[in-house]
Amino acid sequence: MNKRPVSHPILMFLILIAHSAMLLLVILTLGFSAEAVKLTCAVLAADFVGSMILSLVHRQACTVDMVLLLVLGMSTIYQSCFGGVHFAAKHYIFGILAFIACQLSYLLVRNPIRAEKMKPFWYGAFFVLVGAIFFLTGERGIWIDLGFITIQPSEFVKPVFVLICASSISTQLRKKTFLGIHYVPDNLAMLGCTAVIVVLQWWCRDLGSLPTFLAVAGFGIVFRFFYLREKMSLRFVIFLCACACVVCVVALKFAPDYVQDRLHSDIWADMEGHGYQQCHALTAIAEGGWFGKGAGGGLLHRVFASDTDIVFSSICEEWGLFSGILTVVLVLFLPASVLTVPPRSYYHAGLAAGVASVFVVQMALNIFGSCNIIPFTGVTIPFISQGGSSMLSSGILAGFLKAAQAPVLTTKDGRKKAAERGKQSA
Amino acid sequence: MTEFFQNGQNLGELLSVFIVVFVDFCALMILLAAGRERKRGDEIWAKEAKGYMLSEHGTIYPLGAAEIIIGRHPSADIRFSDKEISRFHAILTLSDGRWHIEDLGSGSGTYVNGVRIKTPRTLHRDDEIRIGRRSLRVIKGNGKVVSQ
Repeated sequence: MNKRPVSHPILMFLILIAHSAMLLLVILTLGFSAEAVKLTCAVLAADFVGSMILSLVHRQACTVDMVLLLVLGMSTIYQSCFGGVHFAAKHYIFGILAFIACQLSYLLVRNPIRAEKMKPFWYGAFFVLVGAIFFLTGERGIWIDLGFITIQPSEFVKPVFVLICASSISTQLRKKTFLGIHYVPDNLAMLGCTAVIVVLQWWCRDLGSLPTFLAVAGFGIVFRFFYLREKMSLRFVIFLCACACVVCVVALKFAPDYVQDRLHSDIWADMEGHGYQQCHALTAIAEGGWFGKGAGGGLLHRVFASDTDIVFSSICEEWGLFSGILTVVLVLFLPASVLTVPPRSYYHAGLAAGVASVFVVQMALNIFGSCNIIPFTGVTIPFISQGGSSMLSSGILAGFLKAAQAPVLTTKDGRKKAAERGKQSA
Repeated sequence: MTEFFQNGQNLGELLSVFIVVFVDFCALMILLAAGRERKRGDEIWAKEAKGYMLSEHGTIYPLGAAEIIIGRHPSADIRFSDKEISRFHAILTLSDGRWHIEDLGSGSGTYVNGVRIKTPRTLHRDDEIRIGRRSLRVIKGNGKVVSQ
């Protein structure tokens, strides 16, 4: 059996060519400079080293790794060229750390039985992070300022919450009875964590991230409460969509005043106020056209959060709408890759659904917010937006997808016992 | 589009088009590789699951996931409509390369080789599982790869 990833060298070669073409365009447009050389060396070195490490370590599930290498290289080039070439060292370093985080989280959860046995640890991590947000951020904020670096703990709550929301069939069938009512302890714990998150997001005034958490919880509920009782019929899917719509309408009706303001304000009538970022973001997309103004040729970098909240518009302005859409599709490739290699365990299927909901909802909030289809939320695009916490969190989530594609169901002890059994029978 | 072709001599624009097309090509190749990876995944699964399947009078029930529910309920993986069989009757789980069977509190019980099981029990080749009036035999597939 071939122990190396499928077509690994060919795929790596293609990724190198794609990145080289982008870097060539940067040099042709912005000229040959020390920063351009730094960027070129850094991206190509990361591709090469990443490829070498993968060929030595992993035997399968190269889809997630390859897409990740492609996207991280592209994102480093994008971030280094907004308004002129300047190597985005911080983004690059966090990209590498995200790639490492992906491999580590894969190793941690690749065995679904072991990953589920570690649930008490996930609950512990959840409450440590929630405690950190309540007590260390100060002024009802979401950032912890350590002086040399700022951390956003709510980003790390996402992977932990995904781990909490996934569940195996065996866990669902382990019921307890209290006062004649049958219940599954794990389900109560998940609903409790969801309630804590809703309170936390309200307390932090970070309602933009709430849809992401609710989507993860929604998938968790669907997997736990409904799937075992009824197969996913079309009628059932319609029922779920209707429920989601009702929740949205109720949430919008009872949203705080500042959210209501954003919902009903006309950005073009308030171009210098509330609509400043969105007006510039929309104009930038229009000015970029299909193939963009050219790397470094955009003006959106002057607007606040051009490399985070409205990064889609920044990419469209400089690289064109085709490249913007292509980048989005590539990020969506990560969760979609699970469709090509379906998970073998219910716990991993739950993880994959949770990760897909995080990626899809975050991208939808960011892009639709930039395009004024929904109010501005300040949510990042995974792997593309600037931000260390978001990058690391996305890397961890990508590792879950890898685990769903390449599960390991035998522990070291199991292998030893199997070998002993083999010797005895011989 | 006309304007684009008029300015098509511009190397930068041509390179932009090339990048978009080439990254698309990369994505397509990764997708094709994922398709081949699925076959490899099936092979690895067959090895992990020892190629075990359940058989009943010539009908084969593949064990394509780490948890398989046997029961009367529509969401059961191996479904029987017999009234003696509970909605969620028994569960087969794969752990450390061994298949285990556990009764889920069914009314009529689960029997392995004629003995009613009360705790999870490891399955071996040629074991006979009796659920209601059904009799399932654990067999080893002849190298056939089973997709989920």
